[in-house]
Amino acid sequence: MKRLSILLAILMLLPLGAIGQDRSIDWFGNVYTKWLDGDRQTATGLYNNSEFGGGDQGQGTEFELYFKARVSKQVEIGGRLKARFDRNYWTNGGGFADDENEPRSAQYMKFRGVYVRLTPGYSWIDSATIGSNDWGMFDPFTIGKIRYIDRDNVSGLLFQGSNASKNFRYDFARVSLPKLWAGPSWSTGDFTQSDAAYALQLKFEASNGFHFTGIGEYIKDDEIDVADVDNRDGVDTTQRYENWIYGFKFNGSVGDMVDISGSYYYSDFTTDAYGGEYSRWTPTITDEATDDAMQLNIDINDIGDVLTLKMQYFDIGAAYMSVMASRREADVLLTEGHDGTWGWSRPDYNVGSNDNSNSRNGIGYGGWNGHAEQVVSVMADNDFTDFDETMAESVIGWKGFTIAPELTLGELTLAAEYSFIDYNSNWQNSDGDNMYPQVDGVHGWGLGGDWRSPYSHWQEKETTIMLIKGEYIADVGQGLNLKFKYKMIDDTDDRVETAGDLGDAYQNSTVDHIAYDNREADYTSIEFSAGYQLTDDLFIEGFLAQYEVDLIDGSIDVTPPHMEGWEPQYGWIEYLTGQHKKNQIGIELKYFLSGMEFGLRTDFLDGTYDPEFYEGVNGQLVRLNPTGDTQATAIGDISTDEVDLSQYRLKAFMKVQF
Amino acid sequence: MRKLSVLLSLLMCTALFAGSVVFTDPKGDDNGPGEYIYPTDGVYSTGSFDLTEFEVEAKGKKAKFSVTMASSLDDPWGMDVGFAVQMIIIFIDTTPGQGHVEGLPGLNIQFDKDSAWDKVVILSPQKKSRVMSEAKIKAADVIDDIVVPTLTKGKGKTISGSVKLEELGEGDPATWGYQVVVQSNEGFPAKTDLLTRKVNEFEGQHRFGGGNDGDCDPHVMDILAGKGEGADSEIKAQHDMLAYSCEEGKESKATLKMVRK
Repeated sequence: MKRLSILLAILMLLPLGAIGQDRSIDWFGNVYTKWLDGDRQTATGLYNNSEFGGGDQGQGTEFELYFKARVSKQVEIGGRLKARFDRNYWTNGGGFADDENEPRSAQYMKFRGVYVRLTPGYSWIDSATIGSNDWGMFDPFTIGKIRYIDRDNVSGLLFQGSNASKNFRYDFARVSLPKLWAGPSWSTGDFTQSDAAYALQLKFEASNGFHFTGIGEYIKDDEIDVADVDNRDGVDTTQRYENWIYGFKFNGSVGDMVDISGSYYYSDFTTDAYGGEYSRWTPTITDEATDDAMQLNIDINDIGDVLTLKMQYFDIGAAYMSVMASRREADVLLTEGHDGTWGWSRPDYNVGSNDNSNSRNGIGYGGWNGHAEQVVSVMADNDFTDFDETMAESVIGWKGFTIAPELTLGELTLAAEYSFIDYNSNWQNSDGDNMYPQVDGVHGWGLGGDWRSPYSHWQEKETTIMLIKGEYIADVGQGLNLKFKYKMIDDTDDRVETAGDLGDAYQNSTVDHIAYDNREADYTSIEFSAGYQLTDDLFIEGFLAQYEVDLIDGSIDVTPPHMEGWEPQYGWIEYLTGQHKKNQIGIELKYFLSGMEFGLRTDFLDGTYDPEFYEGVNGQLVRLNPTGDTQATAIGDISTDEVDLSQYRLKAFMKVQF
Repeated sequence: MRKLSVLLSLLMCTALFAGSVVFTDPKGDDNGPGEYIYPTDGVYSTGSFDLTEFEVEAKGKKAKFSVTMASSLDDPWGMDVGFAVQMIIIFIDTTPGQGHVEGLPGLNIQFDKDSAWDKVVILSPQKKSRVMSEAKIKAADVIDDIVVPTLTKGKGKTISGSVKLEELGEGDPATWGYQVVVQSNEGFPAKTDLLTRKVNEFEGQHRFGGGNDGDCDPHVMDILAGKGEGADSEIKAQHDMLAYSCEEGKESKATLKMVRK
């Protein structure tokens, strides 16, 4: 025993490099420091929109140390040690603050992204990867790139191979289901450790340059069978849910100018987790259903050397269900979609009281900068993001087309988009199925909708998106980069279309004509920016934007279906009919030194909400002109005064790679 | 009407006076020295690194570099400039008989003495500041000869950027020698690599395959070759130029030549 101890001590004293030249470990990493500031004075996390409320105050530092080693020609390992922040504020004093025992505050180190990659050199397999992965070899409709806090939290087995000429490849994976969210009720149940997704992807490149891909995926979530009370022959399991997805894709070029690609997916979802009962808060449908999703893309490039034309047709079924599809950081549609500025807007427009804690949650009045990205998941995820990141929105049920030309004339680039979106979820009382959850859909009733609200029980909706944008490099000094964008979204929803359904739809209020619940939202945005490379190291850009929404959200008697009594008071449901105007001034700096990146973005937003009121008269919505300070509505008494809103926000970061 | 004709004639004359030179490259040779394979992540779509055309257009005080790939560009990493996975490195021989023979860090290439380069233009989706800051530490010895456009854009299949002619030196761009190297934009490069993606023996999710795990192989997916006319023979010429040896005692580096009109 003593000899063993001495041997171990000697081994521990050996420097890593002495283990062997071929087995040296590469160490690299980064130190990331973030500084948030704003006037919301929230600090429940070092993200503007975090899972537990969000924050616009504080400073914190993340440390990340990657390691990678080629153990032999056939074996590679890698991973990282990471101290990440959620509430790792500098003010914690290195962990000696009151909340030292709170894991989110304690600056603890965790290992992440650990994998072993085998390349045995057999003809039938190129590599086997065991451990963490971001699963980017699949696609956003099946197993999407998965980021939940970090990009490689999800682990499994991955086998990849190809034929000798490399025109045929396969990927086979078993991905352990994240129990935190990958199933009905944001969960994989009580018995979680054997739950997994299995996927086989086959890729083939034809001699004409066309590529074909077939994907099959099976997800199963098992639970212990409580009916099996005799464990002498083992314990049976039952299935909480299962999800089959089949996909086929192709892409290729026709001549030098035309690229064509398409995809078709079919999903089959079954669950008995709800016993057929309606559930509002769940990221999956709650019953058995099959559906499909498809896309066709045609790009015509370099027409006359100046014009590119992109066209897309899409049709995504309302019941298309792929639990492991991308939840963010993917963009499956050509359209820009909605703007992030109206997503999850806070503070409350109607009340805005600090006593209402919900009004302090979320991203704030300014929303997210830029347009949304589209994901095929009811679980679209925007947790742990800041205002300068892109908002993800669910496009389950969307069908339509996009045409997007882009014209280049010297230093001027002009681009446009026209999209028409109809919805597979246009139905009355969900066509009799109560398996479609509303999730945040009730919240999304008011303004820009919510990112994971593809379902309304009564919907007859159409959306038109039109925009033109340009970019010009003016010959001033290093070149002044000028951009503009003008965008309009016309969104109409007739909601209930049969008078007999009004009673079922509006149980919290009395609506006695199908025209009285109609919604019409016209969004307009104008954006300008100017960017300049001030020095070799510093790029500075200024932004100006104005956003408007002209919203009629039914009469004053309308409340969202499934609204619960506490929601208006809590600020979850708001009265938002009227004119919304929002101005934004922003500055962005990007500064690089060798090995270091520094970024800063600050926005100043101010705007108004001018409430308007409509009542139903003879089958039409007629403008009301209240004379008092408030107007009674089914949501509550609403002030008739114009509301002033504003927000200041700043994010600065420094990233040093070593 | 006559004024319009005169104006149009003037515009056409201006265009004629502007120097332009175009090279083409065969399709399907995006395999470096012949065996290289794309990474396995879905963002590296087929043809992403397959150079098909290169154009230099001199207009006024500027030179515009346009590089066309075999497939439509995409921006899966949100770089906001119309492309993301590619990085194009254009070596220019403005003054025959002088210049650098070593390539940029991370490429593992050298140039024939007769094809020494004088300037290099980098078309990257990264901000100019990022490229230059990396270059300052990783290519300090040639930093004065690295030129990065203020804005590099991707549209359709073409990546382009303009630089001031004075940054490239004197002479007629139509007569210069060029070599276009297609690499991949790597935001997290190895310590010695100038934002380039590695080529290993086995392809990985974000690594090219078909090469060597060391740095004896050229980390290059496609280049111009032969006369730059897109002839099939240029595929072999490319493979010959990028040939290398990692064998101990017999190491040899890929050696590139300029292509001229």
